[in-house]
Amino acid sequence: MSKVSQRKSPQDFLLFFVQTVYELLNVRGNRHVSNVVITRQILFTGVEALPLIGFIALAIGGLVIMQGYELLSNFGQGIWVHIILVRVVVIELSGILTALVVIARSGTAISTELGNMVVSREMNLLKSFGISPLVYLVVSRIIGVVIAMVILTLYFNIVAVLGGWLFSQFFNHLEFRAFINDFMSVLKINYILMGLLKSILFGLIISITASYHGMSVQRASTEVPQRTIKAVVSSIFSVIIADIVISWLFWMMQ
Amino acid sequence: MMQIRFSDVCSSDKLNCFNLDFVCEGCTVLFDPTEHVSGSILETLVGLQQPETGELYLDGLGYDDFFLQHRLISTFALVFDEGIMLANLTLKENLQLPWKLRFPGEPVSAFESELDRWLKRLNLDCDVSLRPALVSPAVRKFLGFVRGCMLKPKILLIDDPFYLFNKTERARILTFLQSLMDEQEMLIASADDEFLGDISTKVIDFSLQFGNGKK
Repeated sequence: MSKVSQRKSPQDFLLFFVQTVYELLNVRGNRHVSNVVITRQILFTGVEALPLIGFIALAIGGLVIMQGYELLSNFGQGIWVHIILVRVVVIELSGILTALVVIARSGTAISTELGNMVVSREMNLLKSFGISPLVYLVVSRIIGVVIAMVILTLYFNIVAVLGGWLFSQFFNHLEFRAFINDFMSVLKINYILMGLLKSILFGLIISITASYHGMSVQRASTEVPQRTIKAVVSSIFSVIIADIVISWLFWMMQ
Repeated sequence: MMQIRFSDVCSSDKLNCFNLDFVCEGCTVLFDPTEHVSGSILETLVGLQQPETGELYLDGLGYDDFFLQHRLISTFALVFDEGIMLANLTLKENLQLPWKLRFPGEPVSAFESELDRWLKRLNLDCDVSLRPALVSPAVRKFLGFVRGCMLKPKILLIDDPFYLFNKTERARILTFLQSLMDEQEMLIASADDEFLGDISTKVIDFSLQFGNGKK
């Protein structure tokens, strides 16, 4: 990966991005995409993150209901707290919080692992077999992270809604069915589509950015943590900017 | 047998510029006391390095043209000096990954019997379900030989065969390579003169070509 590793300018990132997207679009005809790598990535990014995501979602769902109920009950509108749950959690917080967890766990792991693979010449080993490291390592990981992001975001939403209902019991006893009916009445298909789009895009951003920085390591193991820090910072910036752009576009379309 | 020709080739640092034309047959040894040029030649052959200037020809064809007609994995297999393995796969998965690419239609049982045969031939008793980090570097290096041999390439490229081995292991690998001579063409890059004697059918001595580090 000596050629890739020397790229550090924005144009080089763009080139890496284009190459990766090209390989992603040709994924069906590419024999070097590894099902083993995809499965392990889904397990690590998705399944192993479920407890942490569940805890955060439960807490956020509960806190939003608690604060929202207090605010709305001042105006005698406490029963409309579901709108806040949909607007704040489903549309905004679920995607961004899941992305931050994935950056912290998987973004750092991908960057570190790929960086160490460059240092220990494992990339050269793959190339000596005629296997493209970009396809075998990067594209397979991207697929795994995107699938895991979608699953985690969906899981976040479900747990947050359940958490919201649980916390709402403290203020206003409400039947679960009635709570869900109220919730579903304010949930629009557009919101679900936006959440899905965000999770796919965030997964792409996190995995491509982490992979790029991991592959940018040249020779020394001391570069690995430096590159990992850059991967985290770049991912957070990119995810937040993408979040703003998507929300703004959906808001404009409405 | 393969004709390999490096024409006016210079490395990226321009320290080593050379012309080299030889037919690789039997066991060809690139004897290089500096260990720099010969290792680079092997890496260039598998596409890990690209010469700054000059051309590489295989059987009279340019490198890229040659690999439009042939597969890299069935032409060359490189046994790395450091016995490199992918850390996130088990030893068995490491051996299976290139084998599945080389023999796509073959069943797993064929891989296992082939693996068993080569492990026995090298007197290697190790648990291949372990991760590479859990075995010694010498075992990883032995498994690097197994991986290369299992691919049955046209030419087996071996970079510094003695690296990481103690005296006993050196003797063991030397005996193994001698037994391999009749069935596998090899190109060995080494600074050890043990390879100049019985094992080599041809020696290219880089100490004569690069007396001052530059031709």
